[in-house]
Amino acid sequence: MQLSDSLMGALFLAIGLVMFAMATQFPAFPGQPYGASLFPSILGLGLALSGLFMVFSGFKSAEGRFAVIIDPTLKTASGLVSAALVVAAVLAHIFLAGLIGFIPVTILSLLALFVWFRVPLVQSIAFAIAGAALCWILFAVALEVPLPRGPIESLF
Amino acid sequence: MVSPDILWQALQLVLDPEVLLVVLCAGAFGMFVGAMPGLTATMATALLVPVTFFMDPIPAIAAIVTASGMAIFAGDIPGALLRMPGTPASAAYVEDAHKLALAGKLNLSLGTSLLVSAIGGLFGVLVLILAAPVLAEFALKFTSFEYFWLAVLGLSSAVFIASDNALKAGISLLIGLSLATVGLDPTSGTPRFTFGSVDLLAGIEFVPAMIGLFAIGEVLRGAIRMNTAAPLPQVPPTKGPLFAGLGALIMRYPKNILRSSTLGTMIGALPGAGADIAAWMSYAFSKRMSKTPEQYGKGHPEGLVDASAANNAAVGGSWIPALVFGIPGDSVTAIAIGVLYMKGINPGPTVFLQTPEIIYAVFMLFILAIIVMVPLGWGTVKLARRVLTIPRRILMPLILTFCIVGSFALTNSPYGIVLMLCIGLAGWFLEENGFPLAPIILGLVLGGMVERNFLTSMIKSDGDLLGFFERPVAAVLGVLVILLWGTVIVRFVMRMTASRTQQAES
Repeated sequence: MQLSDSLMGALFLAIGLVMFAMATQFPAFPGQPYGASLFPSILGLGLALSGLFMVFSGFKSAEGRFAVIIDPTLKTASGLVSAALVVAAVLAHIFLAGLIGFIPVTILSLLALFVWFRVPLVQSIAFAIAGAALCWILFAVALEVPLPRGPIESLF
Repeated sequence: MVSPDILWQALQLVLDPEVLLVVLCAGAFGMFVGAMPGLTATMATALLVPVTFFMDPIPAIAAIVTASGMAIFAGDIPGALLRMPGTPASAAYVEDAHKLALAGKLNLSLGTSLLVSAIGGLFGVLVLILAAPVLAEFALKFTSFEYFWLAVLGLSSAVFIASDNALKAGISLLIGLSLATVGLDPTSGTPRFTFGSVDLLAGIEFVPAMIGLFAIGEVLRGAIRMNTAAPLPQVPPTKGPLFAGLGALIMRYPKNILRSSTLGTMIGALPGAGADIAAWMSYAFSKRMSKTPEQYGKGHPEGLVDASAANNAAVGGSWIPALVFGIPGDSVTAIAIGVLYMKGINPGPTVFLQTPEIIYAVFMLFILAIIVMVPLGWGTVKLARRVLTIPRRILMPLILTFCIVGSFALTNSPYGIVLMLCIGLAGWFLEENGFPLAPIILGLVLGGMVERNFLTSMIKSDGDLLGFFERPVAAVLGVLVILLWGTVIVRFVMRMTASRTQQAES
């Protein structure tokens, strides 16, 4: 997804101003003029200024002043579903893994992606199980990372 | 001069079986990632970091050094076979490499890349070994003023030299520096930009952020185009020994190799500019100096020799500012520096004094990585056709899972995954809009150091900005920064007035 330079600039102008306003509120040590707020204030001001420059240079450019261009592949249902599935796989690991365990979430998310990417079903199942097992062995067993455990993981 | 005792200690650190195993595995991994079109050397490093988190410092560095070096060479393989550069560093000469392959000279093309990459890589490492200790001794006298200016100079050159749109690169850098301020303020302990979240108090974890920036974006891009992408073109056949006739070719262009290795090392040493810029610049320079510039892009080995030497020389060069000042030369060294910080080693001149064996072990690792590169590269070229048939539709979901687990492993909680997703989506959006990502990671890694040195300097000089110029080296660095910014602003104003008069005339 592409925004025109003026829109991007406006976005950073707003972020920079909010950051500056927040940064000036950081408490200072009594008697110490330079503290927690100085550096982030400068950064916020810098972002706002750069955003302002971008708004101006965007107005001069030939492309639309407030155009939003959506990637043609993202407009197709196929591209959109692909992107949504990637994000959904990550979200599943954030919200579901704690409930049903790492291995089932990994197998299901891999399976969904493989099938959507038109990998033959038998291969999809094999690679999904192998992928989940590999990650479990490498991270949970070898590196002792406390990956979320559910009913399947408590078997070993 | 370094004592034999230290060299012996360093050698023992390197020749540890665990380190050797790591070098081999990371090398094979780097070769694989580099050889897959669309997976970059930075991504190879980013995917390795969660694993290195659990290693000792030396094997961790070994893994990063080997994988990134291999990936930069391996990027040449799909470039030659399919006209699809495996990494951006191979893009400059992809036309020449592919046309050579089509003409039945695939072995000449890849063999040249491999051997010249090794020579360029060794050159960069030699400069690193000779220059770093001398610079470190000099840098010992530096105070917060010098470090502040040095960091600003490095970050400014990352913005102005290494990118074609300085404004966007500047915004990327400010985003990175701003992300570094999230969490408890190191001097006063005030929470900043935490929005009441306990997780954010510890700051933006560097590894999930980096995986998000350099891996999630690529996965997302690959996924969106997966079902519409054209199938890979046919691979031209290979026969015969890889290194036949190479001696003569290398003997024909010794000056080119020397020139481009020097140029590549220098560009690598500039903060923010890495192997890809080194390859483009030396290719362009080679074309301008060549007796047969019209042959470039049509399957001429001369540009290939130059750019292959330069991109691998840049790898060594980029470690000079990283090891000596703790200021990374490109995104790969930025990642490596982040890893060193996690291991409790703060890169900078004092490391050369306190633990010189670590520094010399790193030097030896570089040489070892280049030695390993030749046989591993030979093997990868031989296996390349099979590697390239591994379908991306199987690889991408597996990489995604690896990113998720890697981010989780750093925080031992879903917070790492949340961070990776948010920064990954933001990074993808920024890159789609032409904002470079390397300055973000440079800002995130260097933010703490810049702020600390800035505040210390402000307090020391009592807020007097002239105090920043009182020490001679600081003054020189400060003037350099002002000159750099001055030229950019003058050029910007001249361009604005030129376009205005043009508009008025039309």
